Amino acid sequence: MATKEHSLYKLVTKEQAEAFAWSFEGPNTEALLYPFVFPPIQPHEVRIQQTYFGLCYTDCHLVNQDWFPINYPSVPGHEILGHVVMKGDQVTQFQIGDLVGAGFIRDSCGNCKLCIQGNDQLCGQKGDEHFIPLPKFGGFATHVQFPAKWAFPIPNTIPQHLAPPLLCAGITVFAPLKRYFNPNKEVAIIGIGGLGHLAIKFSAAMGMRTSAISTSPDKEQEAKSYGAIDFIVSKNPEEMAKASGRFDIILSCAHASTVEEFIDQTKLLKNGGDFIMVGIPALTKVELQLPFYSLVCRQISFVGSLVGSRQENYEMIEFANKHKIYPTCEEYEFENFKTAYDKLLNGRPKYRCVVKVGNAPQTLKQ
Amino acid sequence: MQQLPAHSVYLVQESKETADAVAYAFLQNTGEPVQYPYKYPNIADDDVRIRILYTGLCHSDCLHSRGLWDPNIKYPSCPGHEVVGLVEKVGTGVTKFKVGDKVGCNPQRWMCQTCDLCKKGDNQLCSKGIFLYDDNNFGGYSTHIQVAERMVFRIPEGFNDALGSPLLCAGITVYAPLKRYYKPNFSCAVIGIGGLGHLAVQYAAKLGMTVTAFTTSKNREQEIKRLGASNLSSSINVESLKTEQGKYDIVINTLYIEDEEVFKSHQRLTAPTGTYIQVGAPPSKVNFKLDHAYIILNQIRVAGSLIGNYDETQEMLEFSAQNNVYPIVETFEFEDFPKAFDRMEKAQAKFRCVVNVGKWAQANGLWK
Repeated sequence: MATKEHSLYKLVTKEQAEAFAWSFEGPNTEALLYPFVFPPIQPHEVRIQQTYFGLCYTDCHLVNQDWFPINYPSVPGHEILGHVVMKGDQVTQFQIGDLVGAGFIRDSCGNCKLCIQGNDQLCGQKGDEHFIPLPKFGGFATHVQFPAKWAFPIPNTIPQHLAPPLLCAGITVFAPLKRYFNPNKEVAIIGIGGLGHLAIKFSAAMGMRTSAISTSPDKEQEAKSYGAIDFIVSKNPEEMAKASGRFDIILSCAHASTVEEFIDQTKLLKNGGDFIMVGIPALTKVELQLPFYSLVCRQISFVGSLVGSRQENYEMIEFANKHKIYPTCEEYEFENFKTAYDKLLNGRPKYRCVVKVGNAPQTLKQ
Repeated sequence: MQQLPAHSVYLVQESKETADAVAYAFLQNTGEPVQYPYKYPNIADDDVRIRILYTGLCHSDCLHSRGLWDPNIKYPSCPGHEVVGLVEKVGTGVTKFKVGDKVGCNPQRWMCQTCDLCKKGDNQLCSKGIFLYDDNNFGGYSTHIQVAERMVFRIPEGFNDALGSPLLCAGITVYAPLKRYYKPNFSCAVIGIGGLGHLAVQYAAKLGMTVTAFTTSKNREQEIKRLGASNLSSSINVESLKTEQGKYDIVINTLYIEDEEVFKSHQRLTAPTGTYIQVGAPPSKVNFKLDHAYIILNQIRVAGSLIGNYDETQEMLEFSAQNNVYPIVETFEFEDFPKAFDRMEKAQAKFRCVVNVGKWAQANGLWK
């Protein structure tokens, strides 16, 4: 049971709790059950009772302070799915009972240049309120409370036990693929994991010739079943040499473990091509670098992408629904959250861990 | 007179009397270039032979001929890829140019026009592209140059020949990526106000952008502002660079700096969704370190750029003539080629060295 209290979420007994979270009281520690009551709901907020939620490695990076120091207790989690059970007075777009999802972004101001031009995920005006997983409580809980603006209606045709990872992994790969899309382009997806396997599905559904690049030869059949036309084993120098300069777009969904590996990946890019980066590794990990002459004389670009705007989220949900694009998930009970988290941190989930909240809000009270 | 070594293609001559042309060539990776009279073995059907009026000197010339990029280059080596001249002779199949036309050459001498990249319009990335100067071909440090017509540019009416030759490399190198990524309302940062940078400031201002020049030369403020910069800031002071973080929609970096913290600060000048362009290149072996966290969190583009394609180069020449964009140059006589090279090699030039080739060539009977 949790002992460290968060200033906003009153730590109470199980019987008194409105909601239960899994909190971390320090880096590299086990999650502890945190029964709590919410602060009063704001006029622009909704409270969601989750049906299922997803786990993403970014949550591990945050908890373990891989990028920057954080305050504890911390309840990360940002692949959220559930029904609206409470809403503030100003919320008109949702009714109680609506099924909604949410991802990494908690809030945006709506008035700055970035918001107005349609890049509201990059809004820098909201300080601590920018991201869902911290410093407020995020999605590793039975309930989440956040601005309705960043809640997205989820059609009931998407299986609920598969939907949550779309809200982070899905949008993270959908947005840049759509931004750089062209039917004549050859695309390579590096890394067939949580992000990568969805990227293959989205890219193929967009009509682009998509190849999968992986360290694991045994993922070939599966990659092709998702729509990949070709499969290249990155540890095989002949295959990599053959694919040299082949791709207009590379979407990297895995962190290179050495500088040489990263440089080898960039060699697959056509002159003038785009290398899309979406995953931030731990700061202690490898420095991404390449020879100057490669960057300049081959005229290649490295482009970053951070989840997606609200508009891109609506589009992603509609596109995934239409093309039946769902992640492959492993399911865990809420009470077994620690097992799910450990699998994510130390094991190799296939490909996302999803937690079923189910009756936990009632059963945990006993 | 020293015995000059033979070349694999050009026929070295004892003196300029029998020569088609006289080059300034390096015989080894050290020392000064020397006069090298030669004859062309032939003129191909699609070749254009040019009487050079002016040649610009580019730092790439040092990096090549001193063997810094590739220690195994062949000598004699004649660099130079910023050429303005007059057509002297054309091959039988040439249709685009006639004798007497004013033309220019840039760092590329051949594009295949059939590969994916050529068809897409990026002939500077052509898989079969050939540079203006290499082991087999002499560049612009010469009274003449011979290039296939597909890579020869028309010099527009009203172009200032005496000033304009550096535009063929320095000019296009900054013009092409600025055009590719700019919008007229953008704020633009130009890092490094040297040969490339002082042209980038001019183009960016003429394109309508608000330009901040990042430099170590605070004492040249008036001059840099006259070129079109609204503000100056330090290119190397990390504290100062931090205060400029995230302010520029388009950043063009003409430098390469070894200090990692400074280099990351350059990338961080880029505004969210903006573009950072790298054109400055060091001697080969150095790596470019990507500030990947900043790139992802701000959704920026870090783009390399190499000269420009044929259309962009032609457009740049016309834009420059119409908008009076020229480099500030130091001009040298042909016989002072070694002095010009030395000044450029020591990075002392303000801002580009140009050699008046035509004057000597004509006076010495090379325009036959």
